[in-house]
Amino acid sequence: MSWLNLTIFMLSLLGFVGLALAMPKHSEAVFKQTLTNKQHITLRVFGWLFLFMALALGIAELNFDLGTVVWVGWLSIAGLLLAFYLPFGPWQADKGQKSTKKPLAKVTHKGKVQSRKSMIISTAVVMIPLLIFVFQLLNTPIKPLLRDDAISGEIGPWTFVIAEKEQEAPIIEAMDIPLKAFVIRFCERCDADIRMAYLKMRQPRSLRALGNSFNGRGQTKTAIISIPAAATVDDGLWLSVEAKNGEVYHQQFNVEQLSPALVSFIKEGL
Amino acid sequence: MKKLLGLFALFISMPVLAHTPVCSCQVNANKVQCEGGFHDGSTATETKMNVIAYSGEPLINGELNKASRFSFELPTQPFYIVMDVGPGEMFELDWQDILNMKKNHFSQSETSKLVTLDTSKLD
Repeated sequence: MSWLNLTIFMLSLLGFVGLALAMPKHSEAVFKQTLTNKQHITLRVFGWLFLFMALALGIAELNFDLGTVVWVGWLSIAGLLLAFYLPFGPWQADKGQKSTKKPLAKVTHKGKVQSRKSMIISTAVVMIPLLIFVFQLLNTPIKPLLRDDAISGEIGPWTFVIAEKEQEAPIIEAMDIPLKAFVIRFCERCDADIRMAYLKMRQPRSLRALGNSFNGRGQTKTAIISIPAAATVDDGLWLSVEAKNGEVYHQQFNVEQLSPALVSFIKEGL
Repeated sequence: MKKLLGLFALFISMPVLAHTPVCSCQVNANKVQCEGGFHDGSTATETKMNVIAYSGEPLINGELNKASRFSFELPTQPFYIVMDVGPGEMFELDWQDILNMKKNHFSQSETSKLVTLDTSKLD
């Protein structure tokens, strides 16, 4: 996770540096010479390219929803860092000297104190949301299907990824029945051929008792299943997939592989 | 204004939580008494309850009463109960999961007559 965030941040920063240098004002200050139009365009193209690479990496690794949010977050940090650094960069030294020779207005002690105060306030205004973003980022759990324990497989003609939703023991609510949630995602083209996918503990005995179905918006679906009172680890978790042409496929999963927390729960005794 | 409110409602609306069926049964004398409902504690009156033998033969078909309960005579062969809430939502309870049920109530040979699905399609 950290290498990913660092890479997205670095690519975003490189992108903004490229875009900043594509502006004549900044390129003259940094390179001490006027760049040609072609060079400016090249820098702009590279700037955008790096920004898109950061976005593409975020989406590829974290899916569209979380990927874009993380990208925007790091984009903001990179942009703000650059915006704050540009006025103080070494290339601004000449400008600084010029301004001391010809002050635009007399700077009083009171004015200096006020400007320092406003600097502290503006820095706080910028830093607080950034700190909140970093805190949220560090506390955001990795999506189940992106975790290392997610299982990729194939059932019938379809590929899928399955994982327990939370790496925790089942929750017990009404009637002391333990319930556990699992998530699944089939390949994009698969969804058009699948009527329903079910999950249950123990091998299904009939087509009318295949378990609880996976539901939800988007491609990632969730099923909440009950854990039978007399369940054993050997019973296994059974995935059944019903095709639109009526065929039904079944696959058994090793409980230890799919949910170590469930194994501990069963072994401890329900 | 209405459109704006609609858009606002769209953002603040929460995803609908799943309504998972739950059922608990216990045996008293020769009677199996079940109580069905949903995980949030709500009742599931008039929900279909099917008692099915391991052989696949339907033994008893009934439904949860107004008190969300269902009872039946203990069958003489291994069975399981299916609380059928609707497409994709069910709760299955094997005779072994019933409270106060002796683990050896049905002989080993009967229990092993577990009818499984056509394995030709098993991956």
